[in-house]
Amino acid sequence: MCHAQAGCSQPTSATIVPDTWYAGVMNIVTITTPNVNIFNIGYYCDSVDLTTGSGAEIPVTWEDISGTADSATIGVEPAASVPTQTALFVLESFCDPDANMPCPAGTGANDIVWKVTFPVQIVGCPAPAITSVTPSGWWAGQQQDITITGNCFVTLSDPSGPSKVTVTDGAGAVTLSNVTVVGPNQITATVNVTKKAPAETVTLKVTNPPSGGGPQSVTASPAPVVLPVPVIKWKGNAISGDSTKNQSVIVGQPVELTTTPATLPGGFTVSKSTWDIDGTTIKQYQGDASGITLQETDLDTQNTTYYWLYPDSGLNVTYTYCATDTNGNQICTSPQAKATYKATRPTMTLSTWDSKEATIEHFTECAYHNEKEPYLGYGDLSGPVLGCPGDQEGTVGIKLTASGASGGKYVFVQIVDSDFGLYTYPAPAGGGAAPPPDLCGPHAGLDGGMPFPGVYKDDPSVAYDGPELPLDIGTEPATATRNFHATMYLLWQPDQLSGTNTESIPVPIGHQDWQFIATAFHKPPPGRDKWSTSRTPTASGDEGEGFVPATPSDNELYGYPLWAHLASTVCNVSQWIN
Amino acid sequence: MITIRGAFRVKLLTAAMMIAASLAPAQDAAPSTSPTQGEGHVGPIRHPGASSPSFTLALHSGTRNRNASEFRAGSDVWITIVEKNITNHTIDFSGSFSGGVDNAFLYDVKDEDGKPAEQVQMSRLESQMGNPYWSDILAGESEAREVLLSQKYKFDRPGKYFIQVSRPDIDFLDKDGNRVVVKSNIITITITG
Repeated sequence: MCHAQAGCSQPTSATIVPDTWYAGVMNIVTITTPNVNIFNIGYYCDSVDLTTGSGAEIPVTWEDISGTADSATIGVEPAASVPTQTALFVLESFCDPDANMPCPAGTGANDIVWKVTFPVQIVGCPAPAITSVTPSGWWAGQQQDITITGNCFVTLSDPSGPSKVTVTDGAGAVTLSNVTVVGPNQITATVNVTKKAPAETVTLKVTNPPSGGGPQSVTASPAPVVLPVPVIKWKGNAISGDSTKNQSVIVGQPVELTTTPATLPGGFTVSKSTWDIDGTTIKQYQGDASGITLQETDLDTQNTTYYWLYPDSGLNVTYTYCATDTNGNQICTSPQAKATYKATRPTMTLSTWDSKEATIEHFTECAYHNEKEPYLGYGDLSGPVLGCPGDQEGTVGIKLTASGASGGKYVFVQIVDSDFGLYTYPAPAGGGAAPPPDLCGPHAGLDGGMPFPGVYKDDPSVAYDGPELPLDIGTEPATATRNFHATMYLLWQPDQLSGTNTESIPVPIGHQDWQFIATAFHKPPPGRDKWSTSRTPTASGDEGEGFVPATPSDNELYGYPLWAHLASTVCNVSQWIN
Repeated sequence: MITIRGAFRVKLLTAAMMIAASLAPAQDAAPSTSPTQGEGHVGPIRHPGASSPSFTLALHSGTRNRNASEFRAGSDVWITIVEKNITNHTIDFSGSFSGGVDNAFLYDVKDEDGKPAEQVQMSRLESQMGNPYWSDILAGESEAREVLLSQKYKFDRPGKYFIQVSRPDIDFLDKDGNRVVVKSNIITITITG
């Protein structure tokens, strides 16, 4: 009703735009009353009416009413069930002396003092329309709330309402509950999907009650999609979910995992994968004489291959994924796939046999008429000088023996931690200071190659070594000392896993430090072959710690030995270290 | 991905250790004798009387994990030698390392003009201070040896270099009783500026 106060003019004409209104949608309508603001303080309408041609009211929702000098704006939404027809839009005002709205002469309280009607064309909803279903991907094994957005939904308050919602899927795994038509543009519901539902599309339909003709319905397009529970597979078999049981693998053998779903229907894609793997794993280890390359395990790919480096049980491996629809919307509330592993390996150790010999060895020098040259050696060897044709033989200084393993091969890697050769000289017989000593070293680095070359392949559990120091170096030293420190690392590479073409990798087992420290003394008078070794045996196969098992926190390479280059020899002449 | 190219452990010889070693009293030297069989015995494996080579040598540039045929001047130049046992028994694969180079093999490196490449100057002491090793190759199998050739030859001038390695066969002797030398293929590397 509109209320007019005394002294305010009544509008003499009025127009509305537009004059065609659509059922089920909010129509914005402008009412123009030249020179008079019917919603001003002098005039106000607290209700308007939309009626049929015969005067019956048509259900409609009104939005806020506001006005300016000569026009007003209202929102009007005929109910979705209103059929196509010509209606009348009525504006009225009345007087009310009690409310300080005096009545003109000849009228009484609540009499209509001003009225204007407008014919408007109502266009009924042709059918419900769905613009979106959110979310459009539904996780198997979960319950989730969805919102259906569209037009021309019929609410419960509508005499013919409400709209009905149904879902059908090939696997019979999807049901609906709590369906509520919130308004002509929105329906909410709860979707339930069984745990074992496969990846599939779902037919979601909204059906309006009959209005004139038969019921009208619409099917959501694109169709919502069931997003299945992920499954982890190993060697072609599912190892997560209901088929979960403890899996077993040997450290160093490849664990090649694939997952489902690999693809999704309805234009959805698996857009992000996330793995969480217990224990110490790597994707790849490669070592050669030039250095080491280690790759971290891929944790963001649909499939992943890695190796455990250390034995343990109860190693959980979990996987989740995100799904992205055709509009780029990502859903990341995936259920978790989980498998459990036990990584095993034999218990291995490394023992040393130490000859405890620091001897004066004699090797044949091919460049000097095959003369015998004296060397300070660890062990007792004979043969050619290093670099001459032929091979040395005899008793080595140290032998390192690995034991405990089966089903694989040992890999020895020796790192020279430091290696010094020091020569001191006697003072001249005629007096004066002794010449400064000569020093060779340090020679730190990878010893020989990767793996350590000093292993017989028909007895691959043993590594042999026997450093030696030349004593006849052109001059005649008084003493010659070799101070050699090395660490022998034991790795172990298991046999290839059956059923795969992917090779296993060596894994760290532990290390053994050892040293050879000895001095040869040149007995006077000077002579090329008058050498003796120190009385106190300082050759030692064990620096005290014995075999030290590897741990993942040993270094940044999880216990693998580190090297940047080969151990080599550099001799500085006349360099003294205080 | 982690790549290690610069980390290593070093223990420094202290002055105290050097002094202690030099003050230890001497004892009479025991003459070295021919080794006898027993704990820690090592030596080359011999099968004398072979009528044909015991192995083949295949050479490629780079390491086992990284093939490379181009190297920057002054950088490390690696080659990999693969020796294959072509007999039905185990053969010797022993040798020694000195100056960072495997002495079991002979190296022939020539520049673009066919001249021998310049070698790194090494003192007699440096060349003799090293370690022997003892190993073998099982019948029909192969073993690889990676050699840092730039420890022995200077590759500081850009250009092409031609490399061949060889190794005397301990079991296959010529009519004069000398070990027959088995040669590898010849490879080409390029040194860039």
